[in-house]
Amino acid sequence: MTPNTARFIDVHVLHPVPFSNLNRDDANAVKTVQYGGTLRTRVSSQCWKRAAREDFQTHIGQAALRTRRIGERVTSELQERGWPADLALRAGGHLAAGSSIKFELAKTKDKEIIPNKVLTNAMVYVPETAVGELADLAEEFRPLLEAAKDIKKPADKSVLPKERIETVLRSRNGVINLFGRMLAEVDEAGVDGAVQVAHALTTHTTDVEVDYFSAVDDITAAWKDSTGSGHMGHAEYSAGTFYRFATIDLRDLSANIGDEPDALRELTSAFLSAFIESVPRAKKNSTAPHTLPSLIHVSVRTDRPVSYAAAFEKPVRATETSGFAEPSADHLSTYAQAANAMLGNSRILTCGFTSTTSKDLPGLGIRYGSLDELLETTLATALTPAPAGTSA
Amino acid sequence: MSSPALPEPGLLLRLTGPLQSWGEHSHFTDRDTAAFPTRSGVIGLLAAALGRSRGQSITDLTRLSLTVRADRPGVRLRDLHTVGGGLPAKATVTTAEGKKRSGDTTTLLSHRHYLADAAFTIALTAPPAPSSTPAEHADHRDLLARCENALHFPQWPLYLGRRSCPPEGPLLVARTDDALHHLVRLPLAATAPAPSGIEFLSDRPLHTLPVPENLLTADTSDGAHPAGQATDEPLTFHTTRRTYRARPLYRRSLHLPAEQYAGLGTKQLDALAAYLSRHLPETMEGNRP
Repeated sequence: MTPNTARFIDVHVLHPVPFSNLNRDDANAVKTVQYGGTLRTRVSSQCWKRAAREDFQTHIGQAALRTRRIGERVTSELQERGWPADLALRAGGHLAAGSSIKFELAKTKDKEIIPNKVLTNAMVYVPETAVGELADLAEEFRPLLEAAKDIKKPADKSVLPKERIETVLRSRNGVINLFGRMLAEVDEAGVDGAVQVAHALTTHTTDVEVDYFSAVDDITAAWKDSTGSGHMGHAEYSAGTFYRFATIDLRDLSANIGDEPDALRELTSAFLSAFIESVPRAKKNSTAPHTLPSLIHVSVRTDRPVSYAAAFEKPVRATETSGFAEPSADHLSTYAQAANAMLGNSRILTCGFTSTTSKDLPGLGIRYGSLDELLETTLATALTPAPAGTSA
Repeated sequence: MSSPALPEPGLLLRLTGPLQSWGEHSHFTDRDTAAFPTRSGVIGLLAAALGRSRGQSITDLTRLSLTVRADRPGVRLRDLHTVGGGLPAKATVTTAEGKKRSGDTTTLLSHRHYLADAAFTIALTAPPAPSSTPAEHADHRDLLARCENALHFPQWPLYLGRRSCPPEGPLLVARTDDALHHLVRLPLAATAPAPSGIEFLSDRPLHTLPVPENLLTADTSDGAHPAGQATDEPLTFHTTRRTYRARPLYRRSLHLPAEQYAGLGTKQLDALAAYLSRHLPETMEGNRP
């Protein structure tokens, strides 16, 4: 039987990026991958996901905090609330030491332990609002904290109730519901993310350019008493049109949120916009790689996500007049048609695209004049429950 | 020359995408990959499709036999990945000055290995035991039908060994009554014959692989005996008690006809669709229930 409810939103983006190095490895080199027998430029999924996550947080006006220093953060909150410094420090220490996460103590430059400055061994990942909640907890138990001993070694026990602290550490917001959280140390704090992001790679063969540079010494230049530069070096860059793919699992996301259709719509919409428009910021001041996608294709599927990466397994070639964006769009359309012929179009509830090229792209569904229209139709189809009794 | 085995029902899958990674000995910050899809990886994929949680039994799935055809073996890729901290300073990377960073700024580096540019076609078969009863036969078919449906409508999104490696295009090619026959004959996701031929890897002897007579060469290594072993037989995927054991690994290379090399991307998909409509029309969309 074919379910006819929207399950996945697949988003495919063709994104030209000029001379840049969005994601580098341990040697500052551009990340690459071999595909279809030729070399491509690559941006790891983790790298582009972080860029998307930061934009997403701005969109929805929620922040999440990922840190080993949660105790110190609460200490500073308590000081702002007028607590004496010593007591605020002790409270932060007891809060950070009070969960199942093992911890160590910060040390001074001379390797002396700083009491109550607790570093958890795992990073906690909590909504920004958790700081206030932990501070409230400290307020509630202030008399107990005033009488408590300092936390001086990893074996010291907190006087605060573990379960109450862990409830705060388990709390979530939209960011965590969408992207997930890995925290094995606290029971039931793990959240399976509802988005999957693939590594981005260029649709065509690329070369890595080694850019030699020198820096002028202003005084040498002004006095002209010597020749040569103040500094020489080299850096690696590359340019190309990337194929990017991500998918949202609507069922997982709504399970993470609970029954809240408005929140589901808000998070889905914000993620799609953030993923489409984000660009990783590495070397942004030297290359300003702030480009927009040349094509966005979105489909709402009932069955499973389908990546179209193999549209570019055979590398796209630019002609004298075409560049890469236009032939990449053609490859994508042709491949989508072949893949859906095999899989069956009945599992696609709606699909469409918007593009800077004016070519006919029959494999990509309805053409929309703007990204807003495309996303509006997508969300309307994806988030409207199928009428009862219909079958696909 | 031994006679081909009896036809076995099974599923044919394409495991292809720019990156895949089939961990074998992965440990903490060093995440390796085997050179081919592992039994634990493929059974894990089925379990995810079926919505089995980590602690649930997989004994029905481990009865399936896995035969891999390496259309394109791919190349290894090492990716550096950084995470913002979480380890004591002494366990972290050394800075340019030869020192360690202080506790609150330590960065964790991990190396993740991938197979780039690889394409595999696999057969998951349910070999009927010589003494199996009709009821057991039906049971096998039922399992394959449930796996087929789950691969069409997976409970959790599927990936090629790691979540950042989604499969591209169609994953399930067909469910058939003679899976190994078609595994040898399906169009290849590759452009030109390699001198060493196409390698088959399996958990069972490969000398009974149903190879057309005209492809048999005087090659003495016909896959009758294990070429080694792989430690990828999953016993449980339970989060805290995940265990694997070793199993024999059989290998065999075949020089498949040049016209079977269908090329890349759209070309291979078109060839696959043409093959299915000629040989397995009942599996094509539209003819499916």
